[in-house]
Amino acid sequence: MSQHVIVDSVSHRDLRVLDGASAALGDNVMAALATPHEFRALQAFYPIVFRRDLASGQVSALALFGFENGENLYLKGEHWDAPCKPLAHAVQPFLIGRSQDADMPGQVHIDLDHPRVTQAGERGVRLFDEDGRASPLLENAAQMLGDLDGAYRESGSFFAALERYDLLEPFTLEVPLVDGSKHTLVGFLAINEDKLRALGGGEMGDLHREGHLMPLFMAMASVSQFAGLVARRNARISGT
Amino acid sequence: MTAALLPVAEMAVADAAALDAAMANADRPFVLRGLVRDWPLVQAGLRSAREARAHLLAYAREREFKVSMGEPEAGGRLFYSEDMQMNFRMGQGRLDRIFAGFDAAEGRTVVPTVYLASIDIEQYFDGLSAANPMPLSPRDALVSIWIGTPTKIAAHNDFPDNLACCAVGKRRFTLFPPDQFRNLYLGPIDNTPAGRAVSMVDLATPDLAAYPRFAAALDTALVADLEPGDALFIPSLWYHHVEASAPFNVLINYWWRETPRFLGQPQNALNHAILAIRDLPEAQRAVWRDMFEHYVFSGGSEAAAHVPAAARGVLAPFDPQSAARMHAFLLRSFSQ
Repeated sequence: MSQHVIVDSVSHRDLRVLDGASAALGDNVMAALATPHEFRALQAFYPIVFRRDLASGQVSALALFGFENGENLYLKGEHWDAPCKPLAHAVQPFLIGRSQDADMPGQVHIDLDHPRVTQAGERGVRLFDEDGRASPLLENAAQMLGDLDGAYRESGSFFAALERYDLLEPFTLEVPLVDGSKHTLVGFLAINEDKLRALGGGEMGDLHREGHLMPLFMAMASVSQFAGLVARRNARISGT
Repeated sequence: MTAALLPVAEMAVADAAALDAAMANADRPFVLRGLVRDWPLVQAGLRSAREARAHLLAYAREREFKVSMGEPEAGGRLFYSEDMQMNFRMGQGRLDRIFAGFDAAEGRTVVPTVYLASIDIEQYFDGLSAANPMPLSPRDALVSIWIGTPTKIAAHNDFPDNLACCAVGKRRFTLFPPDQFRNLYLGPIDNTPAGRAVSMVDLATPDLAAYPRFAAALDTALVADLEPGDALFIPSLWYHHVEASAPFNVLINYWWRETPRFLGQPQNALNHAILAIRDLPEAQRAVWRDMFEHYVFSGGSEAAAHVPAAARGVLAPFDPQSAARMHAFLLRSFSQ
């Protein structure tokens, strides 16, 4: 379960956040939310795929870390084998809290039940110093949350444009593995390149004006990272 | 002969909440006169077809619109030709170019059929739906616009509930209850004029020698003649034949489902059953019929009752998570 509260220097004076990477710290996840603003950085390391929420019909984008739930092929013991992470994952255990009024600025919240949060011992980085001032860690988290919030708000028009021009298609990826087994990735969406190619000048102009062309092509480029993801899975199977 | 058909009941509602209540209790279609009379699109159309087109053009996105085009001889009936191909062809073009054709055709007696069907309003217009707002209380509805010369669309049905608003021109809906599908003589499922199987019977001149049961369907039929600003509520799965008869006609409709959207599409289930079960030996079909009754059509409670509640999986009512797992499971089975 999770317990989200607004961060304050009195109640959380002694709270510490564990950095580093490991399964115990909650890093064994198959994917993390990726905003179009991050696509350029992420596509160099992760496949970016899309998903439609069955209940709401809303589309979102994900950076894939593995082929099944609880599998992060970038996690090697206590090392995350890529130089960048999606903001939504990197900023944990912090998150944005918002009042009823969605236009009010968000506040820094923390998930007290997140495995990165600790009260006891000397491990981890404090949120506040002896005088109750925000530590660099907390300031950095607030900065990242602000970036993430802005990028998330901008992402709506990108997904709307993908829907408008019907540019997403379901795909099924069959992954033959070195041990002879086969893994099938289903339920995700990718850019339909034929439909993109068939767009006319007016449509392309629309995408260009709204700044959607770059993330669109970055998402397409990221598909080549599937080869790397398969290699990571095979390496894990053969123990190399 | 359609003169003998019964009219759809009319209803007056004070506001969107009253309309919601009326729809929730309705198992039959009803007409709402003047529901969207105040729309600027309706008012523009009452002045002239050109003004209505100008109103639409002001909001059109710069993109290619898909358009069906038929020969004048077909009389606006977008249907199969003798060889079961379509009697119309598809094209695409900018809305201003398409509308220039309407302008040029004004006053002519013989015009080709031009029909922009089921255009997703948000995807093809920017601000049109805000200018002509939905008369329903807020909901997750697909809003579509239908623009064209006189057309006749063969009877078919749709899964979602439907509120159809005649904005410009005249539209006549001839409606049949869902259980009339046998008497309507539906055509192919996989080769259709617009995505749904349609009645092979020509409503204008029914061939009762070839389609004798259609007489029984006509006994159940209801007719609604819509003028600009009028709306028609069509409950889920009711069959409707749609005829637009003015030189320029615009309809805006709302489709929504009252059941959660994470549930599957029933037509997909039927299509797969046709593929997987229909051609089995009769004895096997009988077993599957019984199984479908047990797991599906009965409501499925007997199939779940003896399984511990926590272990029922898809035997329990779906929530978004279990529906997503079932969805992924099916995708995986199909891909093998």
